[in-house]
Amino acid sequence: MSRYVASRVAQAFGVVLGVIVLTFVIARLIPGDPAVAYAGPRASAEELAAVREQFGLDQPLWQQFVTYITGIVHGDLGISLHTKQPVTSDLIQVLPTTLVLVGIALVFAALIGIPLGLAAARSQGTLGDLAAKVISILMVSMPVFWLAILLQIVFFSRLGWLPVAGQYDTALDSTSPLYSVIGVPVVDALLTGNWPVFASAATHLVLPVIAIAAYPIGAVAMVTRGALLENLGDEHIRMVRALGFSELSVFGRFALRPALNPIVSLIALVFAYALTNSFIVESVFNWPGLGSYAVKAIQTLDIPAILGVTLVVALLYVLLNLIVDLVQAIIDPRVRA
Amino acid sequence: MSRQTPDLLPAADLAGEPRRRLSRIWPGWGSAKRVPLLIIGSVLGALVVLAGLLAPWITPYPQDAGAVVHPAQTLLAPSAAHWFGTDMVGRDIFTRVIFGARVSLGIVVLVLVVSAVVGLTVGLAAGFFGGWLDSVLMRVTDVFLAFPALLLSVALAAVLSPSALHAAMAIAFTWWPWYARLARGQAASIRRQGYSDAARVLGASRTRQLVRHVLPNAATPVFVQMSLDAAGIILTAATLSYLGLGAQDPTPEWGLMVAQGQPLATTAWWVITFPGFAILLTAVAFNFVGDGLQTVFDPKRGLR
Repeated sequence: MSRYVASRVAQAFGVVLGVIVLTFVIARLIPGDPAVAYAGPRASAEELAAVREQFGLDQPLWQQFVTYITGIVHGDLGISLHTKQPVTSDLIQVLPTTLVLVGIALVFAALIGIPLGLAAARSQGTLGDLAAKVISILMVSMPVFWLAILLQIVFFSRLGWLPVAGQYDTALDSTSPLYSVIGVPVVDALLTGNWPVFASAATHLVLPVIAIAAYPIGAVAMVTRGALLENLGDEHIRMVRALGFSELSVFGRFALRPALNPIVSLIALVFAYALTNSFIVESVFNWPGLGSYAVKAIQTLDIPAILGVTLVVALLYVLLNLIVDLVQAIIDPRVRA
Repeated sequence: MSRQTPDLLPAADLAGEPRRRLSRIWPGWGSAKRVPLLIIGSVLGALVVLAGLLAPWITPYPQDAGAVVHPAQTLLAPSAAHWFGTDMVGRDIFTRVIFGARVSLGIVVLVLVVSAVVGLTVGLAAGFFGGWLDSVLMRVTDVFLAFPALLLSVALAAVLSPSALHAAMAIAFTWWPWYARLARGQAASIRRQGYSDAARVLGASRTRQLVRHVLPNAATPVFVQMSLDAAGIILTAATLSYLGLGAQDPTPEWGLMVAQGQPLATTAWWVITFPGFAILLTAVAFNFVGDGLQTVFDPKRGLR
C-alpha cells in the first residue's frame, strides 16, 4: 500500500509541474505583445519598456519561467488587471463561496442520482428504466447557462417564489446582523445561530444549486445504473439470490458495494463539471465566488487572473483525483496491484 | 443480464419481411431495433443536419442570418410571420436558429476530426511502440487531462481573439487526450492478440501491422466515443460563445443568441428560449445516438 501511495503522489507532483508549464505556455500564446496588452495601445516606448521591466518580459524565456514558478511556490500569481489586487488574495476571498455552493450541489447529486440509478437498475428493461434514462440524458444535455436563466424567469419573474440574485436578503442586516466566520453567509449564519439570515440564505441557494446539480445528477444516475447492472450479472449475486437473501439486501449490500468504485471515481469528474458549471451559474445569479471572478476576468481579458483561476482549479482537481485514487485503493485492493 | 440475448442470429427473420430486408442491408439492425433511443436520436440528429444543410431554402428570411437590421420589427412575439419571434434588431429568430445548426455542427465536425486524428496518432504510437515513447506521450496526456475540460478551453479561447474557429481549436486542444488514452489502450491490447503475432511472424512491416491490423480494430471504440462526445462538444462550444469567447455577432450561434437575449429575458422570453432549446435538442440527439451505439457495440457496458 505505501509503495502505491508513494508512486501515486510522485505522479501527481509530475502532473502539477506539467500543469504549471502548460499555463505558462498558454500565457505566452497571447497574440501580439503582452506589454502592449497591459499598457494599452497608446503607450509610449518608455512606458512599454517600463512595463516589460516590471513584468520581466525583457528577460529570456527560461528566466521568465523560473520567475513564474518561483512566484507560484511563494503563492504569488501576479496582479489582477481588473481588481488591481494580487490574484492570490482575490482567490482566497472568492474560493470558499464556490466550494460551499459546489459541495451542496454534489451532496444533492449523490442523494438524488444514486437512488435514481438504483431504481433504474432494479427495473431494468421496463418503461420506468427507460424514463430514468431519458431524464438522466436530458440533465446531462442541458446547457447550464440556459437552465439558470430559465429558472430565474420561471421561479422569480413569473411565480415570484424564490429570490433571484445574491446570497441572502441584506435587509436583514439591521435586525439580525451577520458575523463573518468564513465569509460565506449560509455557513456563517449556521455557525453563529443566526436563523433569520440562514433561512434567507437557504432560499437563495435553491435555484443556483438546481442549476449546478443538474448535470451531476444525470451523470451519477447513469454510472450507478451501469455499474450495478455489470455486477448484477456476477456469480456472487446469483449465489446470494440462491441463498434466499431479500431483493433489498441483494441490491443494497451485495451489488452496491462493488459498484461503489466507479461511483467514487466519478466524483472527481463530476466535481470538475460542477465547478465549471458554477462559473456560469454564479455569474447569472450574481454570487461573488470564483465563477463570477473568472467571468469578469474573461470579459476584461485579465490574463493573470484567468491563469490564476485555471491553475488553482487544476491543482484542486489533481488533489481530488489523488484522494479518489487512494480511497479506491482502500475500498478495492485490486486497484493497488 | 438474463433479459439480454446476444443478437448473433438473425432473429429478425421471424418477424416478417420488411425487417428481414433491413437486417440484410445493415446487419446491426437486429440489435439496433431494441434500442429505441438510438432510433429517436438518429432521427432527431438527421433533422438537425438537414436543417443546417437546407437552411437557405427552408427559412423564411435567409438574409436575417447575417448583419441585417429591421428597426420597425424589434422584439416581436412569436406569430405566424415570425414563428420564434424577432430579436433586438428585428431579425427572425426561427431563421437564425436554423442557420445556427450549421455553426454548431461545423464546430463539432472540426473538433472531432482534429482531436481524433491527433489522439489516434499519439495513442497508437504510444501503445504500439511502447517503451519510453509510451511513457513520455502518456505523461503529456495526463497533464492535459488534469484540467477540467471546459476550463482549459476557456483559458485558451480567452487568450486568442474570439471567433468560432478559435473556439473550435480551443476545444480540440482539450479533447484529443481522451482519444489518445482510448487508442493507446486498444493498441496495447491488440498488439498482444494472436492475429498481431501472426502478422509479425509472417514478416509484415511495422507500418503494415499498424495500418492494416491495429488501426481498423482500434477504430470502433473511437467511433462510439466520438458520437458520445459530440453532445459534450455542442455544449462546450455553446458555453464558450455564451461567455463571448466564440462566434461574434452577426453569426447565428445558439449560445451567443442566448447571451444576447439574457438582459431581456424577463420581457422577451422567446429570444433566449428557442436557441437554448436548439442546443438541448441537438445534445439530446447526440447523447441518444452515442448511448445507443454503446449498447449495440458493447452490450455488457451499455444499458438495456
